[in-house]
Amino acid sequence: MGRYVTQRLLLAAMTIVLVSMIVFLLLRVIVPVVYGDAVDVISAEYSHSDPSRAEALREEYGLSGNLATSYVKWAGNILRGDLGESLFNGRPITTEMHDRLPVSIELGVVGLLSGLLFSVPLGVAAAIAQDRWPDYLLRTSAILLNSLPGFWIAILVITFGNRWFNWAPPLNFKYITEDPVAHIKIMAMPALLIGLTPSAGLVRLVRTQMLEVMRQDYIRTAQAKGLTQRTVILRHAMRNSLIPVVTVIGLTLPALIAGTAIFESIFSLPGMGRYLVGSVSSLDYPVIMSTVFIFSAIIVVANLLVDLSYTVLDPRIRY
Amino acid sequence: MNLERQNYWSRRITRRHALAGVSAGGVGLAALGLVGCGDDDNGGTTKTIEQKQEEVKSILWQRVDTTAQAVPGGMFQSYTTADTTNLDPLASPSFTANAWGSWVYPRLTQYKAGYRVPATGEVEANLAEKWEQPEPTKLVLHLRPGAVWEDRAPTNKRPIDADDVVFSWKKFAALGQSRKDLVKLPDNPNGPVINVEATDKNTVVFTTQFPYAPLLSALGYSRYLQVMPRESDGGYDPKNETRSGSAWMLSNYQRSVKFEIKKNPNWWGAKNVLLDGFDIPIIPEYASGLAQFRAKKIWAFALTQDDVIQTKKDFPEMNLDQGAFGRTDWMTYFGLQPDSPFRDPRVRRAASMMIDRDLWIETFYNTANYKKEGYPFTVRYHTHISSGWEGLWVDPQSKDMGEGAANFQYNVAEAKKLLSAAGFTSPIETEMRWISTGQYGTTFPKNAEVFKGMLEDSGMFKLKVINPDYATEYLPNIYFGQGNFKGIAVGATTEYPEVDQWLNSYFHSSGARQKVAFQGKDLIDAKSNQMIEAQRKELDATKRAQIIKDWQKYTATTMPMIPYPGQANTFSATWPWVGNLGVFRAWDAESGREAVQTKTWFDKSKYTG
Amino acid sequence: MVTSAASALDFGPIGRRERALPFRLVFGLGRFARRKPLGFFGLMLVSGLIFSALFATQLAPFSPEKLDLRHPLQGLDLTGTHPLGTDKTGRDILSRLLYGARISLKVGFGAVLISSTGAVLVGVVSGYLGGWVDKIVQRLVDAWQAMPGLIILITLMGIARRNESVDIVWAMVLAIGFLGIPGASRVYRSQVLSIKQAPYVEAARSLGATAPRIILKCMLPNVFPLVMVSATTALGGVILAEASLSFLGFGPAGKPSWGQMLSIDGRDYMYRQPGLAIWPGLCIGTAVFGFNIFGDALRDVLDPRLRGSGRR
Repeated sequence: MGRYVTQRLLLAAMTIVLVSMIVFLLLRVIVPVVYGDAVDVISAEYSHSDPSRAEALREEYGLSGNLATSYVKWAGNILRGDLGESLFNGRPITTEMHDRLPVSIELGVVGLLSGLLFSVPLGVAAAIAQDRWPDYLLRTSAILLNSLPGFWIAILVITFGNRWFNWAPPLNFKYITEDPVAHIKIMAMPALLIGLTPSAGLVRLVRTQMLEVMRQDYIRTAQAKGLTQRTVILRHAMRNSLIPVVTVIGLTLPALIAGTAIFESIFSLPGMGRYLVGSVSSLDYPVIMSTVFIFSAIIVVANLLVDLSYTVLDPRIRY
Repeated sequence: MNLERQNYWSRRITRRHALAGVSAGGVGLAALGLVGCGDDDNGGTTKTIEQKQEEVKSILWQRVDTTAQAVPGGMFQSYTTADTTNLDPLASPSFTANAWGSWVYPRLTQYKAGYRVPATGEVEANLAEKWEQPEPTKLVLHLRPGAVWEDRAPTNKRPIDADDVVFSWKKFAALGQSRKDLVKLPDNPNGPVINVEATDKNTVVFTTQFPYAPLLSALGYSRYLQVMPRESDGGYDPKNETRSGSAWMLSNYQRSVKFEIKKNPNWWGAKNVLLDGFDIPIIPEYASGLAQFRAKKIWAFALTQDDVIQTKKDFPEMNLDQGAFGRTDWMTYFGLQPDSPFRDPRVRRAASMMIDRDLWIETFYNTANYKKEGYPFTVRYHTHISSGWEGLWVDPQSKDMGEGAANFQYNVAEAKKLLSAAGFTSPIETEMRWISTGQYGTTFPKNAEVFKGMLEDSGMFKLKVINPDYATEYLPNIYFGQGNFKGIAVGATTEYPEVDQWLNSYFHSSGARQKVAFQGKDLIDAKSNQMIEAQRKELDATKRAQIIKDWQKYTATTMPMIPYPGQANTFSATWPWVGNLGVFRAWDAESGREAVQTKTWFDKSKYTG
Repeated sequence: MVTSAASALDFGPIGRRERALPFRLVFGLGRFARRKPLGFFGLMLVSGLIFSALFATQLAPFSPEKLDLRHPLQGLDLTGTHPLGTDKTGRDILSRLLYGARISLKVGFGAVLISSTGAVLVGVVSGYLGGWVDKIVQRLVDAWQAMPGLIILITLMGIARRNESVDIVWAMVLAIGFLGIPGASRVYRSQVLSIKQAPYVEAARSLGATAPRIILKCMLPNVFPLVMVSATTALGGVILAEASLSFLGFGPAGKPSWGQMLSIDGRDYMYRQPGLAIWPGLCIGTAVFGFNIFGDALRDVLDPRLRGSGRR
């Protein structure tokens, strides 16, 4: 067990290092060569490029110079917790992340959890009613919901919510530390909507897993023993069917967090997604590099946790 | 060039939300000349056009000055659509920093607000209390005593002095985005201002290399010189913080979330400021913003013209205000490489004749629906200066335009004749470029598509559309490309407070934004250059206006670019508890901070939110 | 176990003279329709989509670019000239939706083709070769998969846009396809891993079959059903990805893609003419729905045990 854990940790660490190299390569080499760098963007806004000034700016922004040393410097800074500074306003990226990452994570987590609240019972119900009309109805609705673009639903909700009920989402954003009640009111609608699409997929997964599990011998034994259907499901079936569900959640969550950009824009939330999208247009490369790296690291860590959780949840899995 | 994404107040003076040519009181709406009073072919309603006009007359906001009853206090619920990269107006790559700086950093002069009628661009005292011109090339400004910086470290209520002005000028001359419009530099030999110095604590002297008529006006423009305290170099971080010397303070700024503006108690005019401040959340999405406005959470909103009629019907209590004409004049311009067909003025004039200007204006200013509902408006065609320049603009549909007027008429047959005279009898195949990303707003790509459609409908153009990347392709090679590209391009232009900077920047052969490379390379339009130089040196206003009018008549015959077709009045909606809305009218949005927004007030008795 | 995939596709009992292919297909379809009515419905939707895309020129009443400035922002009028209405510059919505199907399908099929081919290459080769090749490739796959998709897509699209001659649609196909490779490759790799130890593979090896031959003859046929299922389900995701990119402004401009219609044409007119945004959204939803239920049914038919759980 110990060997397995250490092995996994090492692998995760190697992946993170690899990610950092890929990100660095992409943004410091490929993008500037094929596209242009931040200085090109800045000088484009002036009436005409000032070559000497461009060079000076490149020096200042650390865009020139030996690649290997730049990489080592950047990696070293990250290890020390210094994610660099934005090119355009000099604010430390760590501060921005400190403020924004919780918002994005919260959106993703709360969204998914609220989705789970109704997708698990619905999935179980569909499994129990397999191939009868409630099953078809639930499955079809779930797939339909999963197929519609989430941001489209969000815009429709805002427009028609306003037209029919004169509702508008709460305007002044407050952090949870500032005003918890207002914060919850603000995050409720976007979280619900962002969780809608993946939770629909979860309904189908829960259903499939339940069906798999229900077919197993030990379920038949429990039923033969005379336990009520309810006990059978709650005590025996659910726990085992939820393992893959945990996996999928573990895998979906980081991707969800990385994809909150559109919702943050529609609902005016100060999250990481918006910050990142904005930086891409202005090629604020320290921001892009650091945030992409952090997101990737989160994903790798999430994968690691999922792998490790297998050992706890499923005693059959040992490596 | 982040021109579109500004908050409501700045959008008031764009081509959509500008000031009306409405005279006060008695003359009323009939004087505006309602377009096409004809039969109402609507069919679905029993009201006549006259009945509708009466109705609308009663619902259009009458611009009542309620300052006498004004109750001070309250935070105005405003909004903005975009965050800013940083807060330093003298060193930022985009104009959003200037928009925010204009709340807090004073300017030497300001534009006088119009009282119930549009402003005229007349300049009055601001940080500079009085001035004189001992010689035509010297301007001596006396700063007002008693002006102080913010009562916060490191400025600590220190008096604003001439050294601050000189410090700010030096920064502007070195780093300011628009420095080439004003400053003589090694790579900008035609810049007017050659020196700025402080002769004593309260006196600043500007020296120009030739008599420069628009100088005082330029000193009130927020995209040129905003006066920052010397402490901004090291005492605090100007990219992320501000120290106020003007009517308002930036009391709170949360990136991506909101700006909070509060009244500056130490401003020289503070006792007359009515509001406590402004809450300005950032709402990037139009649908979200509109929802907030309809739910009364924000008090003023830049509605698209398509939404005005319906919103007013849904909320009859809303105040509807007719805007005046904007002073921006976007352009369709040409590539002028040696093999380009557009080097021949006949081809350019022909292209101009293929544009159905009335239909274009109808599409983008919603005039057909406004006409049906009885809303009053006038339509004006742009020349090579915007039709919003009162007293300077020549109406291309009038006889005053002379022979160039024909080039503004929709006449495909005539266009084909011109083309065949120039040697083109079969369709010209070429390229057309415009940016499709959001920098110029979401309506701009549709403007461009309509141009393309109209040119192709004539049967004489086959256009391949290319959407270049804004920063790395469009700006360097097309916008600043001076015509060194293939085909046709459609793009935005910068708004200026004075027509001189427009003429110089876009049309003079040494201009920073000139699009007419043929002037710079082998074909210099010397006549146009000479007229532009003459008007900037002409200190007599009437003579100067005549030169500018003559220039328009001349360019109408050569058609160096095709200006956007024109504009019609636009309408804006505000909730009724905004007191003094539209009574004091700013020349440009950003200068309205001291002249207009200080006079807005919150009428709690009307509040139903 | 290994041959069950093949047997699911076999439409006749062993020994009987096999009918010609068209008959087998029709019978197969009929059987499919009976067993999985929902999946069959999905197949119909998908076919309808493909048909619309292929015959857009014939089906569309107008050219998608044709402006009609005198009739902007018209609403639903099923019997009129513009059945689904017009947008701000008078272009016909129905025609634009039909042509938009082309882009969605181009991006969908293109990207899935690239990601499937790439994933098979990576997964099968790496899984079969094993050893340190496998270890290194797997680390790369891990890293690749860890990158936040949307952000990388935006960056890549931003690069593509810089060059005027690059067709944005093909850039999207490449970018989305490229990003889809690692996820699928895992599934194929685990399938290969489980087959690798099978007796008949051992036998083939001892008979002297070269690695490429084994891969071609033993691995690929067993991976193929998985590919079918993955690809069909992935198509839905790709179409959604295209919509998201267009929504953020990185999509193909000037061409009537559904995502673009939703964001650029529709967003500013939600109060005046909500149909502009509703129709493209429904199209996207229908297409994704069709692919999803068809893919589901396909997976059920091709033996649930071949599903693969996404991890090992």
